Amino acid sequence: MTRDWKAWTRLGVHEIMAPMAFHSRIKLDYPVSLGNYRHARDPSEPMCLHLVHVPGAPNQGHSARDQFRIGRQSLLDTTFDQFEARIRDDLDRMLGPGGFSSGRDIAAITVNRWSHGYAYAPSGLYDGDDFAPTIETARKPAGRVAIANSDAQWNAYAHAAIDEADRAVREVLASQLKSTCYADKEVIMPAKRLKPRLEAPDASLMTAEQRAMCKAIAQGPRKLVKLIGPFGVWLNAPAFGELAQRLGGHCRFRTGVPPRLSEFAIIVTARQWRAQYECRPMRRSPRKPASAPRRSRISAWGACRIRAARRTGDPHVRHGALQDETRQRPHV
Amino acid sequence: MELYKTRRVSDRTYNRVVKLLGEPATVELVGILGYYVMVSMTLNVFNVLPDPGRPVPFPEPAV
Repeated sequence: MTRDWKAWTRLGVHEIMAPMAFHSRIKLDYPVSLGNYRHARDPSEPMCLHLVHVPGAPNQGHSARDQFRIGRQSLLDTTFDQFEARIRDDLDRMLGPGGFSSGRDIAAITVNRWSHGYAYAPSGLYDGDDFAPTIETARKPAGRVAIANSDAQWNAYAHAAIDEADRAVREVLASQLKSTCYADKEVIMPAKRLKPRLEAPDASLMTAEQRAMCKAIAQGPRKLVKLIGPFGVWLNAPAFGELAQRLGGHCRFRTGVPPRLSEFAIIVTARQWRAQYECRPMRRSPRKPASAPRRSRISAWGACRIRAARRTGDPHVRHGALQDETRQRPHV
Repeated sequence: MELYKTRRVSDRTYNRVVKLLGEPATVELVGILGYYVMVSMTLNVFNVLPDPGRPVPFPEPAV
């Protein structure tokens, strides 16, 4: 920042290019007014100058990449005092003939070290083909953290930053989808497979009560011959099991709740409880019960698809209140 | 989810569900939710898992 810019008007210039000087480019601030800020119009007003220094090690036989590395290091190694001395020296020598004196005219100095801003960008002309896999490795998501910004493309420009932000957000969404919607494909195996604690007794060892429960289930809407899931467990307490299975048959197949909704309620509950069995992928619909053919056509698997459809705004799924549930992120 | 989270249901949600399903089916809907909590508890306590070799949907929490 200088107290005025009379020297510039006396010399009749607004910008000086000096490729071999420490500052290769020195110029008056852009004449931009924004909000309450009004750019200087009179040479007696204070003026911001831009001084550009590009550190490097040219003409010494270094590769482009090494020159960038050396330049970046020298930018970080150069102290403010050193910059100030070079700024005063360059300005005195360039603008002195116009009456400029650094001791009198400099009001303030700010040094911006953009060591990150213009990092080396690989070029198809000099570089091998290794940079694409390198940068892909470098920007791999770490857990649920995805890497955005222009560095992730090795290309320090705004369009790269925008593209990389878009990719990073997609990566985060994809990883969430993976953890919330197993139906997509990814599932996690437990480290150690759990052993069932209680199984259905062998048919030959069943009591009359247990056989009655089996028969009731086989003749009920599910038509299950082999007792699976909770029924195998309940068979160990057949009086309770018989009541439970009858209630279950009603819940699943005969309520006044539309089948899509009731399956949805089931899958949400099973998910809330992380019930592995109830949420197992069912690729085929359960057998149609004769009494209520439509009810059984939507399996838990189908319900999961309802949920997925809701996400994508499928107009077939629009049962108001229950769907507030789908917006909740599950607590894993 | 409101029910799971707050253990209650707001008037707004209740009225929306009743409007959608009617009172009898609303009673049944709550019954379905409760019944499948019982089913889930049974499955989880007795380690009922999908057939061996098939993938499971959730990471098994450490107990």
